Amino acid sequence: MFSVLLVLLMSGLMAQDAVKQMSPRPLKSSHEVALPVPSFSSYGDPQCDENLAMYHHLWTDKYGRTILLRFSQSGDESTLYKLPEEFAESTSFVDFSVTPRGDVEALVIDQEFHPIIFGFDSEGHVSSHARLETPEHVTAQHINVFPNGTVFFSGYYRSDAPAALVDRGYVGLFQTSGKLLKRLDRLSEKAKLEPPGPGRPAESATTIGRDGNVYLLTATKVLVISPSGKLQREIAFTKPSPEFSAITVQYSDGWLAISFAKSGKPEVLVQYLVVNASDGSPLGLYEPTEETGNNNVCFSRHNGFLFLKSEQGRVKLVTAPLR
Amino acid sequence: MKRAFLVLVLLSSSSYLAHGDCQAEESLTVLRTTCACNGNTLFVNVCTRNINGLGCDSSGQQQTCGLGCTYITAVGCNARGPKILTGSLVHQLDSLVIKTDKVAALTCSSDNRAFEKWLMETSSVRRTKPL
Repeated sequence: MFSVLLVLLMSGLMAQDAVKQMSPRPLKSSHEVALPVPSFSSYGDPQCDENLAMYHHLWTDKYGRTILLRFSQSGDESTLYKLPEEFAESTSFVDFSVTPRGDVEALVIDQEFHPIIFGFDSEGHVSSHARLETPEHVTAQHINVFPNGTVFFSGYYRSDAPAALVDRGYVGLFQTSGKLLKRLDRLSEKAKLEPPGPGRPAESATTIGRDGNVYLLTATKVLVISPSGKLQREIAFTKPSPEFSAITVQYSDGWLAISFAKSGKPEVLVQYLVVNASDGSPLGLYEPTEETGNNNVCFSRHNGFLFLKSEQGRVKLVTAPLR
Repeated sequence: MKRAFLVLVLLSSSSYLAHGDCQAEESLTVLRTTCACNGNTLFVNVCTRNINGLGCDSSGQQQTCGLGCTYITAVGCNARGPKILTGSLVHQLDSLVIKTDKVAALTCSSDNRAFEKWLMETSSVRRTKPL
């Protein structure tokens, strides 16, 4: 038993050393295609489904407005996901979830900060909505929906909570009806979830893999969580340098791409660490180049990174394979 | 020259209104955004969890909320997204842009009419059904 632990510990340390020694490999474009999609702005991290359709929270007059855009990889099909009028003005956007199949859920809060989850059908119509039974004073941060419909929710206690709880993380599983299935307090402690602070982006993100697990990104590791809420494993990583924030995690066929970013002048400097999702072993460190732009929207183990650019008022997709 | 002065006055007055703070119930968050003019990722300060706030306009790179919006210039790109919904200051700037061709730098490559047209042609739904 001791020897197994020792081996795991040593391999983890060696993997971290390997990242420190890696210098990022520049990504080169292998394929570029101009889409009929006019240029647009969006908030937050774009998401992809397994068909590489892209999903964006559109930039409108305020962040809280929930207007999500999906368009196919060809740009020939689009779907707009909006809340019904009675909710659109009285709620504020928090997060959205896209499953590998392309099912979309939006997480919003109402005026009393209660989290509400909206499900949409493939045409963008609201098909369900439920208020999640979270404790008082908890504010929402992320959701993901497992293939069995269970909702993974993470958030933290607001400043109006009892002093001992302020800023502490909260993680739970919920039914689609909003009923609490299970609090995951140990997971929350392990994740050390923190509210977003000023000055740098929040080091927290989630994604759901085709393997049915949720991948919860923190500043130092990725936690792999099963639909029953069990912590399957932890994948520790080392940032390229301390100034970088770990901002997104993407899953494809057993591989993870972790994006690190720091402010540049004016654009963001990014590096991507690709690791094996089963044992955390690092597979490569990459950086975008001028020809790719820095806006990675999809990751595929087989095709590499897909970048979104805008040229002459139209969206352009750039494929950059892993080398 | 007069036109440039007018733009400066408008920009500074909007800064005066905003001060870069969020309303009490909002959270000032550094957020990744996609810029319309080149598609690149930028970090901006966004007031999240805003329900009753006036909201902000997308013509600037920094987004601050509260009583108004502020514009930080000289960051290389103006992210003007599709104006499905617009703030009042957008209208002010738009009318200014229409009147004065020299401030075209305030605009970007995003074309709202083209975006709406593309949506019409490709969208599976353009209206939400009541619950």
